[in-house]
Amino acid sequence: MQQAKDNTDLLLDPLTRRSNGYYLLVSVLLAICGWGTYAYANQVISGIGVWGVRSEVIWAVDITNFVFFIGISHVGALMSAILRLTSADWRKPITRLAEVVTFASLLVAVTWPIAHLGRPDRWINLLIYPKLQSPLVWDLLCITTYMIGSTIFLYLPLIPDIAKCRDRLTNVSRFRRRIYSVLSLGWTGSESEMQYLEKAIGIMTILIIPIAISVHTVVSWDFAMQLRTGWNSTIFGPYFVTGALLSGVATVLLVMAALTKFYHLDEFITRKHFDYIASLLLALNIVMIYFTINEYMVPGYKVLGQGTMEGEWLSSLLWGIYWPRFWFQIIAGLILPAIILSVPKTRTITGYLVASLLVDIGMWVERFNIVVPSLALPQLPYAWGQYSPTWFEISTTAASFAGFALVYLLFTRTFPIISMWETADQSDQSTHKKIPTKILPTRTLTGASDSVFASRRRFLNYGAMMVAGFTLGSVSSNIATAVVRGVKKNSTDITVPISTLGESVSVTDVRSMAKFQVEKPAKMPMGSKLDDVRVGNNGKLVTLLYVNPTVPKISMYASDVGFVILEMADPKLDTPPTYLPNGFKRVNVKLNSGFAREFSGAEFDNRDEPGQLQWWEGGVHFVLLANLPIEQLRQIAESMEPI
Amino acid sequence: MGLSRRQFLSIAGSAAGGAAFVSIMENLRPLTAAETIQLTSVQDASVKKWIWVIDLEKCNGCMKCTEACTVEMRVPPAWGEPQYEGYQPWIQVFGTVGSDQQAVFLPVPCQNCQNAPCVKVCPVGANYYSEDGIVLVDQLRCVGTRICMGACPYQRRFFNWFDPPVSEEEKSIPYSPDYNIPHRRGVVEKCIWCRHRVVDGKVPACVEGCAKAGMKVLWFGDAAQDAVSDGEEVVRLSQMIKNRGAYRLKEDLGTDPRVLYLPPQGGST
Repeated sequence: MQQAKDNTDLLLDPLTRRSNGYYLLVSVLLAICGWGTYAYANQVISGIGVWGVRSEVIWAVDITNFVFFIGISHVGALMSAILRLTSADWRKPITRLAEVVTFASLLVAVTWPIAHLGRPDRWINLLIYPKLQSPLVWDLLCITTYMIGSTIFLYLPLIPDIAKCRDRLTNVSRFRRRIYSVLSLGWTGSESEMQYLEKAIGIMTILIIPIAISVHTVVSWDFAMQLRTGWNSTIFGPYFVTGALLSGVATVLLVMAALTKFYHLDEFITRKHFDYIASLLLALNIVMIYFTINEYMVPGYKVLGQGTMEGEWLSSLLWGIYWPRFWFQIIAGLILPAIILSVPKTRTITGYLVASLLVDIGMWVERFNIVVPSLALPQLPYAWGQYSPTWFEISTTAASFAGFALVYLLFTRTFPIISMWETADQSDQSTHKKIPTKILPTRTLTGASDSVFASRRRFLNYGAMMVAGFTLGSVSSNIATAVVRGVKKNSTDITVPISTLGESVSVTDVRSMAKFQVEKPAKMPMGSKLDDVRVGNNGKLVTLLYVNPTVPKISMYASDVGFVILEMADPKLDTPPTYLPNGFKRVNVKLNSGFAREFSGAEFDNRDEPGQLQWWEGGVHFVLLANLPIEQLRQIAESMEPI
Repeated sequence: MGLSRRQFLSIAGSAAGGAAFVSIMENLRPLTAAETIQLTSVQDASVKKWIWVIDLEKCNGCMKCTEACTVEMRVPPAWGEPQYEGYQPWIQVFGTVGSDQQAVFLPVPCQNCQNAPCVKVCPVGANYYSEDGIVLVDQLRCVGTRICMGACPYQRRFFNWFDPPVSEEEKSIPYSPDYNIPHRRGVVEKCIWCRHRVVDGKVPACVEGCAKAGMKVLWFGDAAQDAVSDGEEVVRLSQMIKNRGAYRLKEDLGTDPRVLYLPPQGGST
């Protein structure tokens, strides 16, 4: 028991110790993240063209990073779920460490799909108009569910340890004490609580495995579902999942080494753990080699040296422009680690670290080799697509890795990185095992303690909350849809009293210049003033600009233009089309056919589509632009009379 | 226009391009009788079935079609891609030197697949078929994932990497997916077969440009009415296909494109 207490102190030590080195490291990581954010802000302002991606190579480092970070996130599910199910008890000290890799890498990974959008300001469209036919929507659903699931999975075994932090760490800041007390959910550590907790963990263990596998399979389908040479592969799902586990295990090995070195955890993470993890890495590495042979040898046998597109693609990898990257991935990323991990002489901690580092770099390059050459391959007879990353992509990538390290570091400084209740209190653990698994009568338990896990009902409440969380993840799209639609509807509830008091300036010149009968409204929003009349397109286009201080501005016009009337006698546009454009509804103006659309809200680049009403009358196409409700637009339109 | 014919020939004639081109030509196959009938049969005449016939025999690579397109659609720039000079080539003319030392040219507009991979993969449904079968992009909905560009086997989609220059006149044109002006940043652009023109019974701008140059390479029409036109004369589609043997690009992918190519006489059967 004395020993256990010492262990707990040892594990809690990093949570209170703060050295200059720690602050320096956090500052450096923050600086890199800040630099990346600066680069990203630049990209948002100028356009995604600041990246090196262009018409052929439309994705490059962005999607590579996304696949890589999603990949290493799989190790949490492997360590905790698969090893838990197979009763590999040696995993206990490294379970949480792997789950935090999952947590941190997922946080980083989800930034990339948003960052790579041409219109990041419109990301909400993915929730408003999701099209289930698209692999990207499957991604969205799977990754959201995985994030929620893996966070719960990380949190559940953390509860007893947070309670211990709450009880032991009384000299930390008030803010942290509050975090501990809220997150520990009033845990007391009674036997019944422990029983319920283990049951909850058991349920999550089963749930998380299919979710994790679905995530990377779906990520692989982003590629495999497209008609692209090199992506047209049926083994992409298992190939990606294996690669994900491989890179994840390599990352865990690196993290284990760093933690044992800096937090003095040698007592918990021993040579045995390194050996076991290294064996796991070797096994996955060999499976990966097997998949790689399948992926390249099968097409190679058939098409290598042929003038077909697949032949061109394969020879570009084997001895064409991409050979250095391809052979780096094969030799340094797969074969060399396999040798290091299997030769007894190099089965040392240093050897493991070198192998892990090679595997991680190799897997990043492997993803890059999947994304870029297939895109650069010309689909029609033309030159190959070119790609080289710009400093914007490099900075954002650096920020991703720094962000991953930062999240990890902060986590280890806030919560114990090794599960204390599973390792340090081995003696307690053994007593729990003796309890019959049958659930005790509720009445007995209620009196035992006031913890949230104390009664069956309260446990069920929390179970229900967890289920609700999952459901929330899957239906979040619908909820967000409703909310956003509601908000959008409200934005057009602007009413301006219509009167005949609008002032006008002389427009006699228009009469002689225009090639058709120009009209202007008799009724208009209160306070409107005709500001400018423009005649263009050889007298076939007349624009009337009205200023009005109360009507929401149309951002594509300068100053405070409240509404605009365009009149066109352009043969290109002078007859009403037979179809109804997206987002419009039919509205008749003076019995002439027309259509109108509500104001859709300002867009990011200030080129929004204002509310508009278009109608056709006597060979002239009228367009009224104003951020007003459709009914008011119609009132203005009906009052049009010749100048 | 900045599109120098010699320059484009020299790039296109490079080894990789040449090999790929030959492979495409090898993959082409004549349409079966059933397919010809299906393409030309009169169904519901009120629903247009736009079709494009491109006569490779007559094309000399003058690129008047690309120029007409760039003017009509106010095509945004391609932003310094080494392959493209100037503007996004919505209709692009590929060229290579054939085995008999004769130059071969291949104008490629959007193929308007009826089983379009780009429409399938769009996560927000911004790609859609108009009722007459033209693939359109709602650029107010597009979020710019670019997955449709990856999915397009003909590389006929382009992206506005920065803010395109927009004149005052363009700003005054109300945006519609049928006439996607003014152009905006961060969304996908493509040839829309000049839908704003064809619904009014006119041929696309590039067809007109080709006819004005006296080339008669591009023929546009309605398969439901079995007629194609270059803007000046009208001919029977079924006759044109039957006499020459029409091909479609990458037939084996099953995308069901609406563009038929008539091979140069030297290469046809």
